[in-house]
Formats: sequence, C-alpha cells, structure tokens
Amino acid sequence: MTGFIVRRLMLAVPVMLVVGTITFLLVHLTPGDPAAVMLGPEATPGQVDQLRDEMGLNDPLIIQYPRWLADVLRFDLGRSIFLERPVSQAILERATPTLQLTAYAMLIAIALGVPAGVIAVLHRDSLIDKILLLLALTGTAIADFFLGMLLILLFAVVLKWLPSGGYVAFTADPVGHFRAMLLPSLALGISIAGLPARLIRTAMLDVIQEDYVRVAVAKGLSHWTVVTRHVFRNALLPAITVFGYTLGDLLGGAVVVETVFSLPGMGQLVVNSIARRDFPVIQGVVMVIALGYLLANLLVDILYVAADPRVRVTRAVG
Amino acid sequence: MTRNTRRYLWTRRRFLTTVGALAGGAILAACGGNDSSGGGDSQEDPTPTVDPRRGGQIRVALTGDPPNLDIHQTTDSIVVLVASHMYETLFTWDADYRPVPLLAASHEESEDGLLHTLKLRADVPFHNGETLKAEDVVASIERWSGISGLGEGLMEAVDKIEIVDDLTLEFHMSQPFGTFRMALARQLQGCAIYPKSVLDASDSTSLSEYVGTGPYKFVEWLPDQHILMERFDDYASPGGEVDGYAGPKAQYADRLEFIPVRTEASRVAGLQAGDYHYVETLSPDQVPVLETTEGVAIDVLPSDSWLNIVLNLRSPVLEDLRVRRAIQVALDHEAIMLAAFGEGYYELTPELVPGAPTWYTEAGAEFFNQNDPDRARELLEEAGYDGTPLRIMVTEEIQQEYNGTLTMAQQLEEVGFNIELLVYDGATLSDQRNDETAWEMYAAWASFRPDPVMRNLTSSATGWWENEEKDELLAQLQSESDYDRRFEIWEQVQYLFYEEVPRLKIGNSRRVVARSAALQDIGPTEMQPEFSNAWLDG
Repeated sequence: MTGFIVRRLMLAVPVMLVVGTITFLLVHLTPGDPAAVMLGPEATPGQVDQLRDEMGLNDPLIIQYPRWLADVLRFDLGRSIFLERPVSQAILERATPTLQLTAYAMLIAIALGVPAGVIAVLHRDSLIDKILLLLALTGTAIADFFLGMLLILLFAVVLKWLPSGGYVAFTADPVGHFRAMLLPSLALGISIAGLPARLIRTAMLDVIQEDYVRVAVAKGLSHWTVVTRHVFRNALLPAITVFGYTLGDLLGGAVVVETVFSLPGMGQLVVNSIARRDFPVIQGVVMVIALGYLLANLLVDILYVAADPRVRVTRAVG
Repeated sequence: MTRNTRRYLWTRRRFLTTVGALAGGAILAACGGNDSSGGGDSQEDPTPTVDPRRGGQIRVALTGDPPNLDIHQTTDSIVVLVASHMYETLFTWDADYRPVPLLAASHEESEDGLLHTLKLRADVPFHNGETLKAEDVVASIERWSGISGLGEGLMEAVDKIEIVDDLTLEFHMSQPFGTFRMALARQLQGCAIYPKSVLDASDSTSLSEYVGTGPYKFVEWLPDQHILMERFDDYASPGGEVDGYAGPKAQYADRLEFIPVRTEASRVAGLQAGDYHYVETLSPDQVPVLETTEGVAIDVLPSDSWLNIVLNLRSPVLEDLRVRRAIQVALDHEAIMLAAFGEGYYELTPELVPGAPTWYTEAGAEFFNQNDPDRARELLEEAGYDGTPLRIMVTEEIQQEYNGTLTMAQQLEEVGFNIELLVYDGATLSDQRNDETAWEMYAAWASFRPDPVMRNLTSSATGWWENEEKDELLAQLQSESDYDRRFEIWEQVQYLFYEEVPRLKIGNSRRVVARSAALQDIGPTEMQPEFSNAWLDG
C-alpha cells in the first residue's frame, strides 16, 4: 500500500511540470498584459510600454521561462502583480473559503442526495421515485448562478434573513460565518445533490438483483439490515469513485458561486487574475488545482482499496 | 445649463435643510417628493434631512477591486473613487469646475507666467504622523510626472522647482503654463501628495504604504473582500463652505468600506437587501427593478461622458481621410445610442467635454450625426475602397459599448464596408489597442473632464492623431490662462476633431447612480462621489 502511494506521488512530479509549462505558455502567448490593465483605459501606448519594461514583461519567453522554472523547483510560485503578496500566501488565504464552501456543499449534497437515492430505490417505480428523480434532475440542470440569485432574492432581498454576499471568517465570528456561507453552500450543494441521488439509486438497483441479497432476505434478516449492510454498503463503491472524480465539477461550480456571492475564494482569485493577467497567480492557482486533482484521485483509489477487500487481494496477488 | 441646475440642487438642498429645522417633516416630504430637477430625474428621498448624523459605516459596492491604490499610477476611475478619501491634491474643483486650493493655501503666477509661487497650508498632518512640507510636494510631483502624461507636460515647462521654505515652493518655468492649477487638481491619474518618506521607500510601479493627508486613513485591503478605511481624527479640514469637491470635510461616517461585487445582479440585490449604501455603476436596465424598491434612491445624472469610437490613423485603410469621412457620414447616432443605453439615457450633442458647461461649443456640429448613407457610399467610391476589412475591437464586458458597436458595425456594412468584429475580453483589448497593426476601430469611453486640456488628443494617445495645427493649438490651450482666449482655441480644436475624424463622438450617456435612501450628501459625482461629507440617516 505504501509503495503504491509513493509511486503515485512520484508520478505527480512530471505531471505537475507539464501542467505548469503548458499554463506558462498559454498565459504568456495569450494577448493582454498586466501593465495595460494596471494603467487603466486611457493610458497611452508609450506609458504601457514603459511599465512593461519596468515589470520585466518585455523580456523574451526564452529568458522568462527558465527564470520561472527555477523558482518553481524551489517551491517559489513568485509574487502577485496586483495583490502585493507572494502567490503562495494569496492561495493559502483563498483556499480556506473555497474548501469551506466545497465541504459544506458536499455535506448538503450528501445529506440531501444519499437519503433521496435510498428512498427512491425503496419505492422504485412509484410516484415518490419519479418525483425524487425529477427533483434530482432539476437540481443538476439548474445553473448554480441562477439558483444563487434565486436564493439571494428570497432570503436576502425579500425575507432579509441572510446577507446577500460577502465572507466572514469562522474564527472572527462563527455565527456570522455560517450565516454568510449558508446561501452559497446551498446553491452549490443543491446543484450537485442530484448526482449522489442518481448514483446511489442506480448502484443500489444493481446490487439488489445480486444473489447475496436474495440470500440475505431468505435468511430472514430484517429489511433494514439488508438495505444498510448488504445493499447500501456495496452500492457505495461505484458511488465513491464517481463522486471523487466530480471534485472538478465542484471546483468549477465554486468559481461561479463565489462570484455571485462575492466570496474571496480560489475561484474568484483565478477568474480575476485571468481578467487582469496576473501571470504568477494564474500559474500558481492552476498548478495547485492540478495537484488537488491528483491528490483527490489518489484518495479515491485509497478509499476504494479500503472499502473493497477484493481490490486489496488483487493487488496483493498482482 | 447643466451646471446651473446642479447649483440649483445644492442651494435647494441647503434651503430644504434650513426650512426643515423650522417647518417639520410633513411639508418637507411634499417638497422633496416633487424634486425632479437637480441632478437629473432624481427620485429624491421621501424625507429630506434634518441634522447630519455622525457615525456608522458607509458600504460601497464596487465593480471589482481597483488595480492598486496609487492615484499617480492609473487612469482607472475606480481608484479615484476609493483612494480620494485617503489622498489629497494641491487643488480641487468647486461646483463650477474651477480649480481651487486644497492642500495649497495660495497660488500666484507672475505677469510673464514664468514663475508660480505656491504656498502650502500649515500643520497638515499625514496619516503616519508627519506634517506636510514642501519636500513632500516636490517628491510627489517628480514621481507623478514620470508616470502621467499631464505631469510630463507640466515638467517639460518647468525649469526647476525651488523649495523656499517648508511651506513655500517656486516653480521656475521655461514657458508659461496657464493650466498649472488644473494639472495639479483632483483627476484620473492626478498628482496625489504622498509623504517623501513613503516615496523614498517606493518605486514607480508600487507604493510601500498607503499614506496621505485625506479625511480617511487606510486600515486594510483584503482583495476580493474589502478595502476598509477609518476616520482620520487629526485631519486638517479646509475652511470655508462646501462647494463642489472643495471646502470642509465633516467626516460623519466612522468608516468607509469598499466591497468588490463583480456581478451586477448581486450588486443590485445587495442594495435592495440593504447590504450596500452605494453602487458604483449600474446599467439603465436595472432602473425599473430598483425604482420600486423601498429604501433605494435612483439618480439619473446629467450627461458627463460619451461613447467614443477611436480610429487608427496609422491603419492603411483609415489613413485616407475620405474613408474616415465615409464612416462619419454613414452613422445614425440615434440608433447606436438607443441600442447602447436605451430611451432617456443619452443625448446627442457635439461638445467634447460634457458636464463642464463653460466649455460647451458647437464647433464642427455640421459634421456630427449626419446619417447620410448615400454620401458615405460616394465617399467610399471616391476613395477607391477595395473591401479591406475594418477590424473593430469590442469587449462584451461593457455591455453598452458592445451593443452600440454592433449597431454601428451593421450601419457600416450597409454602406459597403467589410467589417470584421473582434470580440475580446477587457485585458486583451487594452493590450491590442497599443498595437497599431491590429485594428481599425474600437469602442471606448470618454469620461468626464472638467477642462478640455485634460482630454488627451495628443498624437501619443491610441489612434495616433498627428496634426501640427492641432498640436500647436493644444500647446496654447495648456500655456494660456485667459478663459476667453482658451475658449477660442478649444473651439478650433473641436472643429479639427470633426473635420479630421480621428475619433467619433457618438453621443453623451447619462449615468445611473443607485444608493440607499439613507445615504445623504454624496456631493458631485462627475469625478466620482466623495463620502467625506456623506452621512447615514437612521
């Protein structure tokens, strides 16, 4: 197991380098540069060129690339052009709201989606099943942006129960934190809740046909034990895999939700950095997200091994 | 005319305040409700004010984070909106847009215009505890003039700046510079006065600290979260009456918070929910929603800026004046403005500095908004236009510019132009426009200027309008101080603008300002509002 993890981690190094290099090229070959953004809409070409010079942006890529690569190999992601702080610090600051948002959204999605999936299976082909399926599809189909605005209109504008946006750190004011995070987490959570619901439903339907379930029922085990111990647990395996791989969707959704609710997270950081061509930040965030993906996939594999003894046996034999 | 109505608003406001003390709220509510003059079609607050209340935090929703908090550095107006509360300039503007002293105590110009003597106000503290001295002014002007075009123009006319004593400076000039006060007044990329100690630790691209003499001092900037300032208790408030941007600053609010909220729908919802007191910019589409919201006041401002189509005079197609004329003649400005701003939010007048009525002139009006497609076709034929595409750059990020550009492109196609529309994101457009081989036209914004000398029509501006007569006139406009003489010069420049077609003025837009009805006395808005005299009612 340890060897497997180490091998996977080693493999991450070349992947990260390729990701970093491609990002570097994309960012620098795309038109638009931070000097023009910094000087504003009415700057003259001469002023822009002067600032580009001072910022070292007029150097050819053949000089800029090795400079950047040398820094990255020393784990130095450089300094943001607009944020007046190192990229690593900016990312750390922004990671917290995003991780909180995705964690809360994930909890909401699981809390809504998994029971819905189980209930749908237990009442399969009934009206309840169809209604739940319809809700799950609606949740998946509705744009997070639109759902976010609807939630703001209802809870902030009409009822005035919750703030319309903004972020409060948990350490500063726990109640304020949850008040601020509730609407964005709901927007993101509801939009992905349909996925676990459908996954669990399909997987459980498959498992229910299995012989061992029939045996369990024949043994006279209680309905509850059969559903939880035999059906649900086995259905969880494919669900874990797919859910882990949808982490990317979650990050993509977080970008949109953060913008609607003005949360200072990674999503806003990368979107704004692209808008103003903050090159070091774009490169840094893309690499960190890529690393997050690699680690998430690794985690899924490890969970899979832990949850399914057969995989362990195969690996031990192979 | 516009200026008169604005003054009317001010006096009216004062009048109402005075009457308020005597007559009580009920009568006032009626008066206030009828107020539809002033700053445009203002939906004034139902209950006008009694005594301004001290305290509270004014929350302003911005369209995004400013690129920096350094006024010297950028022409982005959002920086003026935020940072003008922290920094001050030597001069500012009164309600008639005349430059008046702010950090300066007095300014004298010698008869021959070759010596400017500037005295500073005494005992003006910076936020870091230092006191304003002549050396701070010199250091600030030196840094600013290395970055800003206007500053460069000023320093070209200055032989040397002599520090006579801590509060007196002499500017020895090589040539007269009649617009001295204007150059050093509040504006985009203006000459904010920073302490020399801070500038010594800074470079031309960034400031080591945000320190000024303004009524609010910097607390923190958490990008994408907020910029927070608090009242500067030792602020040296100028004397006199509040007059435009000039006069005393009462600093009613304890704190100012500027919050970037990128989505317009979120800004609007936040205003409706009472989370923000002021929203930076708003498209007219939002007016119907907000009009019906209780506690929200909408001001449709008199026009102060215009939709500006910049032409590339170094492009092989557009270097031919007949082709540029064909574009000018072809356009129906009404249709373009209607598409861009909608009914009631634009004006079709030829002046190039709207909002500053003393500079209103109709010179060249015969070239404005001709809407004569047949004549355009003739001109194209005369010029032998071979169908080379006109590359028009535009960004969808500014919806009004985008909508207007689409309509314009369609009109140009109808007279025989081959149009290639290049839709970019904002950063790409602001980069590409510096490349003279990449485009023929782009849509931009000509924002408010209190004086025509600040309208950058030099050959270094994008579009590269080179014309000796115009350059000579611009130089005179800068060196001359007599208003009547300057007005004559400006009329000639404006005429050349229409005759030579370096850019196209399509029409003036009227901006929409939305604020909480509780937010009072934000003052003039042409060069961004200042919240130093604003207060929260209730």
